[in-house]
Amino acid sequence: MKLFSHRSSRADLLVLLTLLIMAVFIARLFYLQVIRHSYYVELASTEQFKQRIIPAKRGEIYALTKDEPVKLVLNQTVYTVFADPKIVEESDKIVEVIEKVAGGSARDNLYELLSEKASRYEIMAVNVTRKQAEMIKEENLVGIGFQEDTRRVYPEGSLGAQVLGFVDTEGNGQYGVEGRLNDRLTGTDGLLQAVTDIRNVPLTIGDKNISQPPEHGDNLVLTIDRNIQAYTEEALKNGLKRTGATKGSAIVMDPYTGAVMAMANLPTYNPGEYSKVEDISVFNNAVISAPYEPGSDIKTLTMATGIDQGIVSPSSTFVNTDLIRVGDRTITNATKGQTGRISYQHALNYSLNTGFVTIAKLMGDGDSITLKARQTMYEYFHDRFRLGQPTGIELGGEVAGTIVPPDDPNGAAVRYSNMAFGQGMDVTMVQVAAAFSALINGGTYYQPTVIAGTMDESGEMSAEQPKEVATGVISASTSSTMEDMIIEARRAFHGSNDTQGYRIGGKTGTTQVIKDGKYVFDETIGTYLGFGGEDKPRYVVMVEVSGENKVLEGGKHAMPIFTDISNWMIDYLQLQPKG
Amino acid sequence: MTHTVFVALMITVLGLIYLTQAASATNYDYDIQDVDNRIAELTSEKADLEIENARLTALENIRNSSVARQMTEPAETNYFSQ
Repeated sequence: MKLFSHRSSRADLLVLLTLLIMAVFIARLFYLQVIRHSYYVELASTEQFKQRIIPAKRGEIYALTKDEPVKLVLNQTVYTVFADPKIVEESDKIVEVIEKVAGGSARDNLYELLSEKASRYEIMAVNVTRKQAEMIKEENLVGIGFQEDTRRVYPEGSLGAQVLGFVDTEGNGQYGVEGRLNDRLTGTDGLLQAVTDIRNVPLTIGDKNISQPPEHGDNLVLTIDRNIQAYTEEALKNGLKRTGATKGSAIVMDPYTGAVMAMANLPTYNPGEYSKVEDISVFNNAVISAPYEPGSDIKTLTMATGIDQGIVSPSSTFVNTDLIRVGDRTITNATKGQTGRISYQHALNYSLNTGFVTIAKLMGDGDSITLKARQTMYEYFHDRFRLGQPTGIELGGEVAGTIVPPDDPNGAAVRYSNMAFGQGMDVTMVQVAAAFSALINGGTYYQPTVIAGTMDESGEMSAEQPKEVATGVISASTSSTMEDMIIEARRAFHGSNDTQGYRIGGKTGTTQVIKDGKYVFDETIGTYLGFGGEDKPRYVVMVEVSGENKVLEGGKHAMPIFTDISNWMIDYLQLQPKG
Repeated sequence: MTHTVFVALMITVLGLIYLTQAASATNYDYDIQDVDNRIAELTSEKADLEIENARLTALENIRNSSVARQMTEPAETNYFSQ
């Protein structure tokens, strides 16, 4: 009995010990699997799950060649070649290979960089192309790595630089379309979350995988015609060389859609090398961001207002004495000698200020530019022709300009008399060109636009419709009359160099420059605003030339550039001559 | 006893099937990864070719081409209605 008791106690002890060990295991497992469950699940997820941002591709930008889209801004995958100097073994070979393959993209001081043994990251070359990167990879250089990046490529160089803008090192669009439509071009990054193996290859196992594809940025097709843009820039460049002007701008628009076919500014820059630009003012697009006093171009709008109000007609007359009084001011003509009773057509041909101040007076009581006259002018200039307000064109940096309202203390008769011939107001070229388009297209104001549509991945283009802002800006008959008047104004002096058989009209503008609040006499801006076409206008062209301390005239300096572009447009658009 | 062996065999077979399927799925993942890499490589090559094409057909290149240099101004232009 005693013996049995002894054996039993040993077995019990063994059982007890086993149970105890099992209890320890169970307790430990309970602790690990139940109490620390969340912690270990998270730890496992961190190890197994990898999240990767799939970058959205920035939209590319197309121009047109007639109706055919052609790429103007593309994306290129490039690489930054870096070294880990601590593990680099063959400095001589690395330097030789990188200098030979990367050429100008390589840093100048490669040996110096490789000798920085305390550093783990030294950039050897930037913007290395895929082919170059592959050639370097083939050399199996120890301690050399590659970092993928994307850059914008501009195969046409500086063509349309201020329209395009550029993308900075942070990937943000600046100026032009890149700046204004940055959100549309950027798109939205995608996300890939998955269990991965040791080589970071995503595996389909697991129930928490997420695959969210990126939404690439819109591929934008501009209304800019590559050939018209190139010719406009060339004509402007030649014009500046001829005249000695240092700055010039030009815009070519379709008056029936508001589509901008060309928009050029000089001096210019290459968006691919924007960091090398010394004078950042070249980034600005003067056509939309440099308000100025438009001068005599505006006489076409004053004339149209008078005709639309039934106050004057091309053949109605006034007595010109080469000067006219408004309040305590005397306004004179730049061209003198056309005195006596003359028609308003005559006044437009010779750009006589007195004729247009007379129209402003006729909008009132005939003797003075009354509040009613000023209200009428403001309604037409600001509300109908939309001067002094942003047009909404899809370009960064557009400014409003100023049209002083008639009830403003500064909006008295003297200012409005000046406004009748284009002074006393600040507007942009795009505003004037858009207003002029409405003037000659039957009276419909279209929002100026540089966006023709978008291009999908398969190469199909979705066109955007012209944005008709207002109809009946002026009556169709006023528009038709104005078209004839402007053609006559051009024929009177400047028509001889036009390709014959077409309806081409235009108006000169020479603007005095204000410096320190006063008009100066040693600097003027020359502009020319006109159109051309067959039975109906097919293009509107506006040209501006200027320069520090340069006296530049619309008829002498800007007009020949218009003629050059206009004659070329007739050939390019294959317009048929009449008769 | 026979039942126990049978159940053990069943569990083993089912386990093997699961492992085979899992390994097979992983192999597909590697294939997919290879194809994705190839697509990325070809896309990059295509983009490079498009850039090359855009550069070669840039107006400046066309203007300076030997063909363009040999062109002359037309002596006369005739128009006809289409």
